[in-house]
Amino acid sequence: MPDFSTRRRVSRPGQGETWLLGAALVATVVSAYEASSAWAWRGAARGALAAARHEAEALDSRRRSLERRGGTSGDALASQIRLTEDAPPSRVMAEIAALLPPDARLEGVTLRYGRRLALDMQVVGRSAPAYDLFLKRLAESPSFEEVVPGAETREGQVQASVQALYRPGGRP
Amino acid sequence: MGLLSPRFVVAFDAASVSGALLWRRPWSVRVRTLARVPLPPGALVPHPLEENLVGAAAVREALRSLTRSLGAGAGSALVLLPDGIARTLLVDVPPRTDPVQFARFRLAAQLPYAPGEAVVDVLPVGRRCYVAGAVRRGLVASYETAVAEAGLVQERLDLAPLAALSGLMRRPPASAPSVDVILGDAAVSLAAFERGALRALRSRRRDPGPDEPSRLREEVDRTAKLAGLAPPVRVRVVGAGAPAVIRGLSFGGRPAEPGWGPSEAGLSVESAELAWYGAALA
Repeated sequence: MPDFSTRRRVSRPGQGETWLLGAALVATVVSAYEASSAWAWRGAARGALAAARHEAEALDSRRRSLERRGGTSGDALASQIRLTEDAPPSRVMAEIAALLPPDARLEGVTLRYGRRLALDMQVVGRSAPAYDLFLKRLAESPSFEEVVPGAETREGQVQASVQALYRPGGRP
Repeated sequence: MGLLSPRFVVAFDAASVSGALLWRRPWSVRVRTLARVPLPPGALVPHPLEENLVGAAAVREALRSLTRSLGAGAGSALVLLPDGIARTLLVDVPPRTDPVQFARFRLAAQLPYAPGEAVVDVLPVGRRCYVAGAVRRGLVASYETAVAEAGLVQERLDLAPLAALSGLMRRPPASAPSVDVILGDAAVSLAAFERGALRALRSRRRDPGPDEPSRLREEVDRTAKLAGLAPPVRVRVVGAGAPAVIRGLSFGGRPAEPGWGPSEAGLSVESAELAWYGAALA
């Protein structure tokens, strides 16, 4: 505003103005602190956001990879489920037991359900012919294929392992 | 003057010394107290060259009486000098130029006294546009002496027409161009506005009388023509005798209105009479 005074006066601040100035300074300091805190929080939030975005991208990449392999995994799982229904352990054990001659017994068996049902059998035969007969029946059975005799010991009786694949319902 | 204390305004004019304590709020200005002390005829004669305070003692006494009436104490006051003592000029200041120095340069050729005797200041009215004013230093000094001898502390010293202009600029007419008539006891200033910008500023000696409205009507037309304003032109009036002038202009076919509303200052008097009310609005 214009001042046509011959000597420009500088008015001294009143008490109210002094209080207002003090309040303004305090407000400025508080605002600066708040701004600084907000800036730091913003940096931390940005870091967290970047990490979350990176993790999301990794998860998305993994999802896409899994989706690409989804058909194979799905087929394997479906086969396993179907095989479990078609060849329950009780039925497989019953079929093996039916093939055992009287002089042979099954000491242990491991069933691995996958795309196929793999069997790992530990067989004890009182005599070598009994064991050989079991192998012969096993190889001829339509329910078993790829019969592979494993290690065996023949010291009076025969202890041997046999691997085979089970075919539910017999060979086509 | 503190922000929390009322603003004290003292205005000199030929017929009286008036003043007010103003409460200024963020959204309004209210007059807490108002007083007007008449001066004896010839005690104060607004003139750009000669001593104004012919009856200095009477003026001092009027100031003391005014201060007592207002209960203003010894606070600092905005002092307003009457219209008719300053040379004013609308100037466009070149870029990177000090406005006051440029105003002094422009006014120097028009002053009827040595430029070194002039107190010069400017009122910004637009982008690089200023109203420059020059008052003879000796005249200002005599007013300052009167203020000091009345026990007042001078905060700032302004010219009444510039103070009024400040207030009028804050409320420009919405659309139509306007000519504002700022009345003093001894002189009248006319300001032409268009689209919120001041286009022309003129000052004339006042000659109150029965045919004053018709003369003012002609002055309004000349000012509008000088500024290149296209009709219709609104006319706003503030200052001493504003209601009578508004009636006279309207009766003569030139509708006019007060520059500020009759009740906005919270007064029982017509606030348009108070040219210095613009200083409170600015």
